[in-house]
Amino acid sequence: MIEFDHVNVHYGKNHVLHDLTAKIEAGEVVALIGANAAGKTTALRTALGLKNLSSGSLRFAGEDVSSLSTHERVERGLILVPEGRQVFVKFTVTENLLMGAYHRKDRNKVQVELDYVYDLFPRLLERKSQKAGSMSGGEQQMLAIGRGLMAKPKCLLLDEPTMGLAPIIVQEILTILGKLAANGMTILLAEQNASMALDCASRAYVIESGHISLEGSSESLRESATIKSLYLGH
Amino acid sequence: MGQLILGQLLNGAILGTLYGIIALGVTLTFGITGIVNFALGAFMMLGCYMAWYFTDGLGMHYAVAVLCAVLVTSFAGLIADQTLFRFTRNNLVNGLLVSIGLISVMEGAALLIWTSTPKNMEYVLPGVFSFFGLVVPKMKAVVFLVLLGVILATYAALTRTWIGRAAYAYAQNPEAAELMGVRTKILQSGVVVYSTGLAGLGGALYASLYSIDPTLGAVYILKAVEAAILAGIGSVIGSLFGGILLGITEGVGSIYLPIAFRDAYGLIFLIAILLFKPAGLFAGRK
Repeated sequence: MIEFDHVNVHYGKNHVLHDLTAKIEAGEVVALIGANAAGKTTALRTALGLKNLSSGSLRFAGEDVSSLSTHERVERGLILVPEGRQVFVKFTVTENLLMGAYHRKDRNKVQVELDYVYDLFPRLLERKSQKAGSMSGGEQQMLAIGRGLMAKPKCLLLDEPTMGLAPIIVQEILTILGKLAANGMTILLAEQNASMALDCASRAYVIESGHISLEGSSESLRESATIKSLYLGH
Repeated sequence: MGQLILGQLLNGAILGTLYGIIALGVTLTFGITGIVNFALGAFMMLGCYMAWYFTDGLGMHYAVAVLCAVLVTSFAGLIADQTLFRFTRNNLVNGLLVSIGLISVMEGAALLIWTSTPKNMEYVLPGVFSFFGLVVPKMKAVVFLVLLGVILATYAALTRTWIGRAAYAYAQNPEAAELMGVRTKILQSGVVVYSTGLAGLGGALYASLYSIDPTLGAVYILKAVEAAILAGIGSVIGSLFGGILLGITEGVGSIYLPIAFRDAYGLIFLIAILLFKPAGLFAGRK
């Protein structure tokens, strides 16, 4: 579904992603685990074309998308739920969700998806006419995920969806991700919280200062000594 | 005295929509491209001369001439965007320098082609409306209604259409809008061109009321920026009210105070309002 092939990215002279190679098959949930500033966000931004790659290539659904603009990648079904939620604070919940469907040719007939999102997040339905800026962080995160789903993603990239949220909300979001995965959604989940990410995903990549340092199935990584000492705190 | 005040209120409101249409361009351009386009006054001037040339020079019907003037101004706006403003996105200082340079070029060209002698268009719509002892030239009423209509239609389009919502979303969070699939480059160019078109419309209508000269845009862009700040930059409906409020302040002010200082009244009023509402009257609204 999505494939990073020896991707290198620079911010000015800073080489932030080194030969990143990773592959996510259709229907898989894969985690990208790393500390702050390890390159998770850069990897996802590069996937969407918000950041240019300096070498290597990026394939999505069998097509080289490295040189496509962001809106062209979005139109192909590659959807990012960005770090820090980035909801439209002056829009209501419904207006935010509708913006998610902006790129779709059938954007005037999105009632089905709207019902689906409100069904997944009943809390959003309660607040559908409320301005997004006046909601709590957890509700904004739900809104950001809902907005992503409105785009009818083929592959959903999530950048730290649980950052800074109360444990109970984290649980709620994990449940939703589980439901999406059960419905066959392809998900790439970037997370600092390794144990949570490993619970959610079937496979994971560990990224350290822009290098993939480990990869494997969630079970094998949970047993790995490095992971245990660095991320799981055992 | 009452009639004098009422008359000035009306005159101020009409002039205010002219400020408002330019202010709308200022506010939209700032919200989407992050620069203040001071050259909008020069585009207004271009609209004036085009309307004058198409009617008195080529003998077109005035309504057609206005439409053509708007098209020519928008096209000039497109060229300016692609050759200049494209490189000043979200760079206030560069945008300022480029737009001031553009003013010099456009005013210089206008002086060269049309000289500094003011031009007066033939009357388009003679006659007046009189009611309650007030007299309003018909043409002024038409200009007022057209500008009011265009500003309100723009507001409606921004809130009700997909492209309008995309623009508003972009103004709130450019990157999130891009992640929704908004074509940001086209949106930015579109807004620059649209605001030059609005300025051209203001100019084409202005030409039917007052005499025109190459430097008339300077006063209008200053008033428009004032109106936009008065309203709270980013507010579409606010730019209309800001413009009208400014027009009325000047109109009524010049009854009681020396008319030579009329341009200052609006500024004093602006300072007074910003003292109490630093973000502008309509801050936080659409």
